[in-house]
Amino acid sequence: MSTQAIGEKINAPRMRWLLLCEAAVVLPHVQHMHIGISLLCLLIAAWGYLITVRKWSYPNMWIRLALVIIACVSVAYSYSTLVGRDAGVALLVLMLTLKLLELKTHRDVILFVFLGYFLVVTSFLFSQSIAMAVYMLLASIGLTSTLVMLSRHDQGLHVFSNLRVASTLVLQAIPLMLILFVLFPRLPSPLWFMPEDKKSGVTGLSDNMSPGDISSLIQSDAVAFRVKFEQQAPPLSQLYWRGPVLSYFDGRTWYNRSLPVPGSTESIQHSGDKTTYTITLEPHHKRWLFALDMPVELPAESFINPDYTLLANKDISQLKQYTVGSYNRYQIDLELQYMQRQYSLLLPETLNPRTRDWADQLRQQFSDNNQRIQHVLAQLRQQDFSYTLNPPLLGRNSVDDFLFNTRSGFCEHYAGSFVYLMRLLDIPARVVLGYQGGEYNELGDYLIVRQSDAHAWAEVWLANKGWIRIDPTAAVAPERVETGIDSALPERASSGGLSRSSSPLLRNLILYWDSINYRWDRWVLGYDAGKQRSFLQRLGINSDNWQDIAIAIMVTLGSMVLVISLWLNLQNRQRHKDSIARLYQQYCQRLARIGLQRQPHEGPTDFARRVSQKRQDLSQEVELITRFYIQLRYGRNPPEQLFSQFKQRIRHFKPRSGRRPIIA
Amino acid sequence: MDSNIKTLIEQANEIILGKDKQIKLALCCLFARGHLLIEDLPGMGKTTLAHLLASLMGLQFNRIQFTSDLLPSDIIGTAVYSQSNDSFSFHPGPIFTQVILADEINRASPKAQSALLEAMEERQVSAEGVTRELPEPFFVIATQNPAHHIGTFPLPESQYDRFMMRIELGYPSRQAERRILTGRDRSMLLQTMQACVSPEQVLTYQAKVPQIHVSEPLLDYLQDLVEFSRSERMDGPGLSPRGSLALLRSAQSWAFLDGRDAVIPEDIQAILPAVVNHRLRQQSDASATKDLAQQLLQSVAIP
Repeated sequence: MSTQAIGEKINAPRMRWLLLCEAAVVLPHVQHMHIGISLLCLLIAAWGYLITVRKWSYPNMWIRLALVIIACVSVAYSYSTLVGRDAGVALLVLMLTLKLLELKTHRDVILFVFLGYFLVVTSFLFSQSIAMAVYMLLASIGLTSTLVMLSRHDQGLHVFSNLRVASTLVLQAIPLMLILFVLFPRLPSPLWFMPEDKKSGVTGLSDNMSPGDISSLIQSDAVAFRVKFEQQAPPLSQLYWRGPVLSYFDGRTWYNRSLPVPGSTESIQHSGDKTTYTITLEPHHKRWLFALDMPVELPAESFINPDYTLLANKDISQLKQYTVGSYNRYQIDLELQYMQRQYSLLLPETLNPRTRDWADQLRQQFSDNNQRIQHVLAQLRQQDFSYTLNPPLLGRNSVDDFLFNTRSGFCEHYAGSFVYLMRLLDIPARVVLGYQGGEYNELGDYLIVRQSDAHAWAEVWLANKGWIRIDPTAAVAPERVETGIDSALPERASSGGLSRSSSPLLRNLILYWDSINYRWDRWVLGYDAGKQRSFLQRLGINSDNWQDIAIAIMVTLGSMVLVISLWLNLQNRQRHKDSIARLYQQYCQRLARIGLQRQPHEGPTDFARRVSQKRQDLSQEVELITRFYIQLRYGRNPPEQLFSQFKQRIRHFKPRSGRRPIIA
Repeated sequence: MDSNIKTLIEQANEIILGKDKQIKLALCCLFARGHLLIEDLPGMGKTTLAHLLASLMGLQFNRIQFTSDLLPSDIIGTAVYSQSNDSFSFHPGPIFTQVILADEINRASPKAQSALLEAMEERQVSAEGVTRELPEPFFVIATQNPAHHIGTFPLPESQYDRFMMRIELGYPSRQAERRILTGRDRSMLLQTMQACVSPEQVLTYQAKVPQIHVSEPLLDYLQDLVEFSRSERMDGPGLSPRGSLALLRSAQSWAFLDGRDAVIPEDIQAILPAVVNHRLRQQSDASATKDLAQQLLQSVAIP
C-alpha cells in the first residue's frame, strides 16, 4: 500500500513542519484573500494533519475530485472569476492545501514544496517591499530545508541542521540570482496584464477639489514621490510640483476637464536655470507626472497637455521613475485662444452675491488687472484670515461664506476663492493641484515629498505675461511655502504622525529607513529595461542583441563556476594534505606494531633508513612510500595521481613481524 | 645536485680530510648568503677551510688578523692625502673582497669587531661620508678561539646573531690524521687547486636558494621549534625572528645542496645545531651548547 510509503517519509513532526512551511508561504496572502477561502484552507489543513497523526485513511479519488470542484466553485463565487491575480492566487493556495490530502509518496511531497516555491513568487505580485523580499527569502529557506529533510535517510526532523544546509544553499544561489537579475533580458512592458489594486485604498490627489479634500489628504504621511536633484536643489519655497489643473467650477467643487492630448510645447518660451531631477513616483493610478515649472526636457512615454500638465501615456499603476529637466523662467500661452479664455472665465451664474459686489467694487476702484490682484492679495494678508486645518463648514455660497464670514481655511479655500474672484474680475484664472516643498533627506541626498505636502494654488493669465502662478496661501501663511506645512500648522505638528516626531533619534531612524527604501525602489524595483540597457552599454554589451546577452550570461556564469571549482579544488587539496598525514600515520602505526616505533622528532627519511637497516625485506617498499610521502607533503605541486598511488601503497603495506631479516 | 657543486665538495674533502659535514655546512651558509663563525682551537684548519672555499670558487680572498690594537680603519680603509692631485683619496681596506677571513675575531677590541660586524650586516661600508658597496658574493668567515683563552674580548651575545652559522671543526679522526701526516703539504695542495665554480655561478646559486619550496607542514615544524626555544622549557633566550629566518634559509640551502627542490624535516635537523647553538647559549657556559640543540630537536615532534 502506498500508505506505507508515506509512513516512511511523513510522520507527525514532519507533517507539522510541512504545515508550518505552508503557513509561512500563505500568510502574506491571507490579508487580501477572502476570509471564506482562508477558512476552507484551514479546514483542509486540519484534515490533512489528522490523516497523518491519527492514521486516518486518505480520501479516495471521488472525494478529492469533489473537493477540487468545491474549491474552484468557491473561488469563482468569491472573485466571480477563476483567472487573474487575486483569483489565481486563491486557487493556488487552495490547491496547495488540498495536496496535503494526498501526500502519499515522496513525489507528492516534492510537488507540494515546488508549489510552495511558486506561491512565494506570487507574493511579489502584491508587494515588492524590502520586508516582503526578506520574508520570502526566509520562506524559501524553510521550503528548501524541507527538501533537505526529505533527502535524509532517517525519519527525523533535524530542523536546525536542515535549516543550516538550506541557508547555505540559498546563500550560495545569491551570486547566481544577482547575475540573472542584472543580465536577464527585461521586457519594456510585462507580458501579462498586471491587475490594478483597488483604487480606494490609495491616497493621493484626485482630479477634483472641494473644500476639505486637501486638508484630509494632509493627514497622511504616505510618500507621494522622492526626488533626486542632479544639481543643487532649489529652495523649498520654489518647489511647486505641478499636477492637474482644475478649470471648471460648479459652485462647490473644482473639476479637471482638460483633455489628455499633447498640447503645443512650442508656446513655451524658457530661459533661466535648468534643473534636472529624477522622480520616483509611487503609483497613484492617475496619469499625471509631477514636475517643477516648466518641464522642457520630458521623459519617454509622456507629453504635456494644453494645460501644461505632464502626463504619462498610461495610468501610473507601478512605481515609476522618470527624469525631467525644468526651467525656472518661462512664458506660456502669451496668446490665449478665445475658447480657452472663455473656459477660464466660466462661473456659475448666481451664487456668492457679496463676492460679486466686491468684484464690482474692485473693478471701479482700480483700472489695472495687476493692481486688482495686488489689492486682493493685500486684503488676504491684512484682514484677519487664518490658515487652519479644521475650517468651519461653509454654506451654499461657499466663497461668500469664506471671504466674509469664517475667514479661516486651508489652501484649497484660498486657491478656490481667489480664482473665483479673478474670474469675476474677467481675469482668466484656474486652480492648480500638486505638492509644495518636501523634506530633504540628507542621509540619501534626496527630497521626500509626502501626501502631507499636497497643495493647491492659482494661475492667472495676464496680457503680455501669459499664465503666471499666484499662491494666495503664501499671502496668508508665508511660512507654509517657506518652511513647510508643520511650521504653518502647529496643530498638525503636535497631532501628526511618526515622520513629524520631535525626537531627533526617531526622526533620523525614519529618514534612514526611508533612504534604504528609496535605494530599493531606485536600484531594485526601478531596474527596468531602460536602465538595464544603459548599464549593459557601459559594460560594452549591446542589450538589443540577444546573442550578446546570452554570451554575457554564459561568461559570467562560466567564470563563477570556474572560481567555485578552483576554490573547491583548493579545499580538496587541503583535505588531501590532511589525509596524507593520516595515511603516513597509518604506515607508522603498522611499523610500530612490528617493533619499529617512529620517534616524534624523527624525519621520514631518517625513519626509513632505520627501518631499512632493521628490515631489509621492507626497504624497497618503505623507500618508495617515503619518497611519495615527501613529495606529497613537502614537495611543490605534487601530481594529482600521486596521491592515489600513495594511498594504494599504504593500503597494501602490511609488514609482518614473522619474517625476520636474513642478516642478524 | 649540480655537478659543479659535487666536484667542489669532493675537491674540498680531498684537502680537509674527514670534515664532510663541516664543509657542507660552510657551503650551505655561503649559498644562504650568511656568514660563518668557526670556533675552535688554533691549528685545526680554520684558515685552510676559508682559503679553500675561496680558491675553489675563484673568489677574491683577504685575511685580517685581529689583534688587540686593530683599528676600524685597518679593516675598512682610510683616506690618504695625495700630493699629486692635492686631495684625499680613499684607500679601501682588506674588507673589500669576496671572501674574508677574520682570524681570531675575539682578540680585537669591541670597536674593531663592530666595524666588521656592521659591514657584514649591511653589505656596504660607510667611510669618509661615502657609502661603498661591498663586492658580491660577500662571505665572512670569522674564527674565534674558545672564550676562556686569555686576552680575548668575547663577542657580545647580540653580535652572535649576525652569524648565520657557527661550526666547530674538531680533531680529525685517527685515519684522517694519518693521511695528513703522510700526505703532501696541505698548503701546497691548495696552491695547485683549480676553481670548480665561478663567482657568477655562486651568485646564481644564492639566488636559487630562496626559491626552494617550503611546504606548510614544514613551516609549522620550523615555527614549533622556534616557539619551543622561546618557551620556559628551554633555558636562556629564545630564537629571534632573524634566527628563524636563518633556520629557513639554511634549510633551503641544505636542500639545494642535496639537489632537492623542496625542504624536508631532515634538512632542518641537519642545520639546526649550527644555526641555533650560538644563539641559544649563554655567555657563561659554552660547554652545554651542543645539548641545547639536541634538546630542542628531541622535544619537538615533526607535525
